[in-house]
Amino acid sequence: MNDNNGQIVIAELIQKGLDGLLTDKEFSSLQKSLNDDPEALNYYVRTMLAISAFSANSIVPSCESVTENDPLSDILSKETWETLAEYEESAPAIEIPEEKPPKELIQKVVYPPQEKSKISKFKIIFLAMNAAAVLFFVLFLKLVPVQSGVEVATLIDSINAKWADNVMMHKGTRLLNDEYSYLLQEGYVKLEFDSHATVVIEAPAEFRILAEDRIGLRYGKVFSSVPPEAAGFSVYTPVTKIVDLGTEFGIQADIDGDTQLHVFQGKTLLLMGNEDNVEVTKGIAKKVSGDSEKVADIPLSTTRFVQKIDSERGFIWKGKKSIDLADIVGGGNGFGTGQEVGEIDPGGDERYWLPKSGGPFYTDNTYRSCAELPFVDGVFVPDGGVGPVQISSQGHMWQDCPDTTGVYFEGIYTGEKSRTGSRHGFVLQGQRYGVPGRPHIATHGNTGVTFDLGALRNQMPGLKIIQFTALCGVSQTVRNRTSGNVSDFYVLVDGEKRFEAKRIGVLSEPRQVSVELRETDSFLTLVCTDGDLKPHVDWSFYGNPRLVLESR
Amino acid sequence: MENSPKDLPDKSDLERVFFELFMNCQKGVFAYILSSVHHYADANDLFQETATVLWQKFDEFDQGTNFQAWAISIARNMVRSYFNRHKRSRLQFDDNLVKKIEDQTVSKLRNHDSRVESLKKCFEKLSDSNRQLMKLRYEQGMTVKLIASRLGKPLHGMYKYMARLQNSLLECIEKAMALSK
Repeated sequence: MNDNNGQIVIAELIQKGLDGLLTDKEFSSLQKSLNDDPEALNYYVRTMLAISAFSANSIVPSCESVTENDPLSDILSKETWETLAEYEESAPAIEIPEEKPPKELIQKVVYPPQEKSKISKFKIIFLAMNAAAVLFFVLFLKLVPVQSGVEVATLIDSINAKWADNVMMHKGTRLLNDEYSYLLQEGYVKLEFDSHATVVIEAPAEFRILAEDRIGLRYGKVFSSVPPEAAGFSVYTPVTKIVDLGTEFGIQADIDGDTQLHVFQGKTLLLMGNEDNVEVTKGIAKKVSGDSEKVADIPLSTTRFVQKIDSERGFIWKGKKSIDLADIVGGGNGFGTGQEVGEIDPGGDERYWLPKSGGPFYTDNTYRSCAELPFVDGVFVPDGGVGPVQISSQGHMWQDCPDTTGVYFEGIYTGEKSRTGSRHGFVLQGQRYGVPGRPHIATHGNTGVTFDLGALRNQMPGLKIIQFTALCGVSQTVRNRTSGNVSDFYVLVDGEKRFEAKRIGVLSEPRQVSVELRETDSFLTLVCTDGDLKPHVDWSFYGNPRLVLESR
Repeated sequence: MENSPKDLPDKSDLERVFFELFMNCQKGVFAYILSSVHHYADANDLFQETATVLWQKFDEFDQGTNFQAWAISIARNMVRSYFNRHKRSRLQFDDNLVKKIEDQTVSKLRNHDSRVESLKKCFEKLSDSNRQLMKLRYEQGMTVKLIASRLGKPLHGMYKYMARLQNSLLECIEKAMALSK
């Protein structure tokens, strides 16, 4: 092998071999080359040594700048690099995504003082565990001797799980406590240990089942839920052992050895390899450095970990504490999957289209179901003047609906623009709504929309809906047109009025809505009527409409 | 030679000594294992197992002798045991080739520090995107298949690309090592 092409062929076979993807034929070819050609063997060994040099113990490249007369530069300007550059131009930028919590969820951020890193600007860390991590397992992992090869846990659910080594697992697969390292490349799995502790693991992750009451996490994210009978359940990472004392907590172990612990319920004991230990309680998060084993306080992240999965419903819950009803009006599931799909017409036969010419539109108060939106039960034009108004598909009636003109100008929608093209805007207390971070549901007088709480509960096993909150009012942009019109706002639950705010106009303060919800409540209805029998310019809406959630 | 109880180092001293010796040679031990086993994930596991055994047998090590050589002799047995365990599930080089690889690896480990230094220099000269690629491959341990999937590139092309990148990096390392002599 004395040409560059031969080297590339060997290099390619090496890459495939590293991933265990050589075919029999390719393997035989490689073996033959290495046996027959001393240069090929030499090349193979040099390559493997170079790859292994991306190794544990934090190899730190120097920060020397490149000079024009750099003798290495000619290597880097060979034709090969031009070929690579050509490929690079067509390749998308490689981004290693950084996980950032949404801004509104950060209440108070207290960052630990910036530690001067002892290493220069980047590490090359090989996949092999660093020496300190290995020694942790060797020296400090005081495992109670347990019989190996015993079934101690069950895979109880998974979503889009993909494992290395072509491992096939399904619901009900029993897992043994042995030396095997599970490498979850994609998706999510939920395991239940025989001690009744459960863990949700998010890929990419590598872990071992150590015993019925412990798991070793080399890297990845794990959310543990430990009932009282399983207290003492432990998670081992390369630099820590976390002992549960009856709680819910999340652990993230990074490939470089850093470990984060976030405690959501109860308390845990955080043990380090240097035999220090710290009790970490609810609402607290800690980070242990993989290099120094120093412990630092970090902000608790309530949405970093996947806490619940349900493959039948396709449900993945990351701890979000509320459902966005504006997202549901946009066709989503309340967790950000919706889009602005247009308006729901409370009076017409077509669900999402209104005549381009705009209102006023006249209709009766017939309740119209929304089959297309999974969590919107239906819409209607409230007009109590013709009698009680049906407000759900199950026949709930609003007995005290006030008399209105039965006229509406816009449908029910989310986002800044109505289908008719109206962009009158939605502003309360000087803040725009219908923009990212400030969702809203436009409910121009006279319109009503009902949400199916039962359907929402079905998609979120393990969670309950405890409250509806919103800010309701008439947009300040009305001032450009008039100052006199007023609207009435009503929130009903199964037809029963639970909130009202009457004669709210552009000069009024918006009203905070807070309605407690019970497990037995089926339908939530939001209504806006023309408070003064003048529906024109009733640019009314519910800002940041949310259903507050709680774990069961 | 028997030690009296007074002569025996206490546990924390022993750990410290082991740690120092292991830190100095762990790169070489891993290099040896990877060259022999050629399967990335298996090499990692085997490396960890070897470290465990090294500690368990540390009292058999003759202080003052070459720790790396002793560690590699342990690793050799671990590799053979691995081959026996995975006879059916892993493609394995024949014994003759394994011996040749082992001899060459041990020989080249003598200047492994120089190789590591040269790698640092050459790595820095990569473009940002190629450095990121190497990080995904070797720092985060992604398979080429996963990288290709993330980038939306065909797998075959991605292997070729990685091979060329690795080859060019190797050339740079070899030249840097030559210049440093």
